Amino acid sequence: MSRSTGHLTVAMVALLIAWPSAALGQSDWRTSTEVRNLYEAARAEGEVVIWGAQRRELAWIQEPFGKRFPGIEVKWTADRSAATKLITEYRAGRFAVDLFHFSLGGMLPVDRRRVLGANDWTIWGNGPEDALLDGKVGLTHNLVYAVVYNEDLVSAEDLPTTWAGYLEPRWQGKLVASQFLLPRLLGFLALEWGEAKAADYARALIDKQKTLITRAPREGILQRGERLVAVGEFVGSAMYWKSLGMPMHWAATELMPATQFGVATLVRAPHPHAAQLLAGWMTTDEAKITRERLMFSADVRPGSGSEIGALLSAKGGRIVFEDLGNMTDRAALYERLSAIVTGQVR
Amino acid sequence: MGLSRGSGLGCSGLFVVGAAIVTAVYLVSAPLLMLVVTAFRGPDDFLPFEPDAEWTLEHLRTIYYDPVLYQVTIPDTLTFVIGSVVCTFVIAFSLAWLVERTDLPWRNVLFTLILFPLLVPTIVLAIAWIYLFGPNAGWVNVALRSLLGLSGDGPLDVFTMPGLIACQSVALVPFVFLLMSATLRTMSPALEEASSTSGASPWTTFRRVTLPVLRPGMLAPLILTALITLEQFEMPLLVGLPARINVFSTRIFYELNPDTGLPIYGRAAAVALPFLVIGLLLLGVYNRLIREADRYVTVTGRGYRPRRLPLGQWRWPAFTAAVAYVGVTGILPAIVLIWISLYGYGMPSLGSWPEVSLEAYRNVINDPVFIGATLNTLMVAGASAALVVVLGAVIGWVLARTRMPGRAILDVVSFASVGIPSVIAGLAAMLLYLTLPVALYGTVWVLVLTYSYRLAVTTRMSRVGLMQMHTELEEASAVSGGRWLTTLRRVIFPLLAPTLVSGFVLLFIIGVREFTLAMILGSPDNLVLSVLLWRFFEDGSASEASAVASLIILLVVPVIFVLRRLVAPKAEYG
Repeated sequence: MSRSTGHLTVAMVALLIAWPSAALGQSDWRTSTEVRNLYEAARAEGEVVIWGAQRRELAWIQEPFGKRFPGIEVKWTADRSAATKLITEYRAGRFAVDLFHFSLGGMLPVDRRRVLGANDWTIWGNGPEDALLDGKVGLTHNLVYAVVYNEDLVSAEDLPTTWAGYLEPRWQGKLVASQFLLPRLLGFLALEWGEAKAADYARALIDKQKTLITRAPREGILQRGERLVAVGEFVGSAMYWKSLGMPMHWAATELMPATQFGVATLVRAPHPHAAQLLAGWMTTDEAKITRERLMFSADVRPGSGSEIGALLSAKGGRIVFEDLGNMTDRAALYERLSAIVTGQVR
Repeated sequence: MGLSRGSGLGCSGLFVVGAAIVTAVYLVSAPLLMLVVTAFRGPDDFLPFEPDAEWTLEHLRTIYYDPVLYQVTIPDTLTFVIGSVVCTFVIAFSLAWLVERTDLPWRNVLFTLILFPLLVPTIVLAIAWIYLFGPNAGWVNVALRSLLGLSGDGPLDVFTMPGLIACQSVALVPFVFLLMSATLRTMSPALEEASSTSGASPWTTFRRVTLPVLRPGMLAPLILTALITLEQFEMPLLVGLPARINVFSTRIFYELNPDTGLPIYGRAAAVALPFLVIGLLLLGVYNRLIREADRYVTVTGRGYRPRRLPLGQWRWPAFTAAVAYVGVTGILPAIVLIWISLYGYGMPSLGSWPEVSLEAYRNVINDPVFIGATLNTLMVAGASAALVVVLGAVIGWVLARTRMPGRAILDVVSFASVGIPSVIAGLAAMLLYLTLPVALYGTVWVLVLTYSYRLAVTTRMSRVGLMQMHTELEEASAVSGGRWLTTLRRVIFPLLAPTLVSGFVLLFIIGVREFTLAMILGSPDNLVLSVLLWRFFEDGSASEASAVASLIILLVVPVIFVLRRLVAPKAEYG
């Protein structure tokens, strides 16, 4: 083998080794000195406490994180009112939590009270676009709205590809929607359509289509055939329910809103190094891929490399992302539209 | 005389009564004050005691200037509460009378089955009703359509006001049944026998003797039920929301679970204030109606010999009616619950049997937190129920037997606990124990103390029980040289035992299924089963959630049986 051929071979092998990591853009953190030092300090702390909204968002973390960084126990608490609880504990001088993992909307009141701490996301291979709120919140994943249906009772070809399509008479008495999620979806639609049209849509869904508005688990209502299609459910939920053996599938519409989730360390975290280590790891592709595989919730922002993201793009629906620019307007809209959904305004 | 009408309390008696009063006032007044103060603290996005929060009337203006309150919320609430209370009372009284006062067969089994809806967390019960009576695919509707040859949906629809009232009534019947059965069990039949001997018909005896004698015992549950119905939010939220029914409690829920930002505690407290006002008004009515307490004395030192009324030819029809009731309200939801735990949400069919498995139970039992959650649940529910029963008995005695100065305030304070929504009590406890320089926050003890604010139930029950007992029994004990504590231990507590055990069972069950307080004050160290159940539900793991609910029932049923057995021999009727 000539010298030049040898160099080429070495270069190709190096490229082959480096390429998958380079493609992911996050190869360095596995060998980074900063991360190694952080891990050593975190291991001395022994545990990390994370709060979030749902068990599904938190329970999966320990195993893959423990494999990557052994010796650190992840203690989690799931509570939709975690933001209030956290603020109250901080006001009382109790600092027992290291990390907060929530939707952007849940992060804001906590951030306003200066409870979120600063973090360096760059050592994990993240760029400025991967963090919000002055770099305090590292972005983890999105939950994307679509329709979910019982595939034993409805054929995919029969489903409309627009939200308005569900106002056709054939869907009367066959739809269900979450009282929590539907107003949020309507808020996104109102940004695109205008508030009046979104309000008309909400009234038509409820009054004309007799949509079952409920706080009960929709998967049960769908599976039993009490209703056939859930309007405004998450794509990831359909995949998760299917993985549990339920006959569920999701369908795209012309507009698919995506809620943004993130993670932040807290000021006065009792385990500051473990907090930074876990927060940083949760923004890596390794964690995102694991979350996507186990929990079906993925970072679907352009360029994320997510399989679910690719699937959504292939279905043709336009994804509208929640960000700080549209959050406040959307929140005001869905608060007003919620009154229609709950029947407080008729 | 001040504190004691009869014999002196002695130092130890004074200490016990004093400690009970201080503890009771502490347990109730902290959340009470919190509720009142919170209603006047703002702005919206601030917690009541944050440094920048200030005094305001904004919450009251927002709530009470809103036309929706008068056009939707109040009419819906009145229909819901009146309908539920009437249905609940008719059913609960009939069942309690049959079980406690007649020779109905299988009374002990029926007693436990009637309690079933109380054992199941309301959210699980609501889902079972939707399963059974959903207009399209409800099991009962499918069966009825098949039997009657009907098409389309229905014929029954749970998502209506009558459906909501029926569901809520079924959920409340066990609670009222327990209160009524305690009253009926301690009632001497001497007056009824005298009426019968004088030639009065059973109906006349019931109308002219039984009902008037039971009036105080019925008023307390009636008032409590009205207030507790006002506070119920799970059933209106799950069954009422699809029917566009909006009641006071759902309004509180929406304020506490806003679509954006932090909960608006001030508005929730402002909505909750009428509960307190209504509670105080009802308390006034109650006290006025039972002023002449001696009229209701039925247990004296002479010939307390309870006897059961023979139903004769009505024995088996009454039994059939009771069985039909527990079949629909107890056994059918239990089947749904067990089915979901074994199979999931799918409809039962021949094809589904091979997929039935105990996997959900294995998952729950193998969950690393399950054992700890079970022990925490038993500990918190048992300790708080015992504390409240003892406190309630002593406070009830003070209210019924003494002319202690300020006892009217004690009466109001102990009763006011029913006007405090759990979420406000939870928030109050959270702020209180975070602030106090004692390491209670995050432990099971904070749950024990917070669960114990529900003093109204046992105080009322004990007071009613004492009003049915003549003071001559206690006077006889005092004359014989018995100190107050001895009289309490050897006379009052044994005679009140059925009432106290009913109170303990009720509070134990409420403690086992308590969710709101446990969630607000939760930490990894004080996790209880209801929170574990909720986590599974939110997670989409319905089978595991139903398995936890089934295990909760398995845990509670033996407690009811054992306690009823402990009391029954002493109270069994000849």
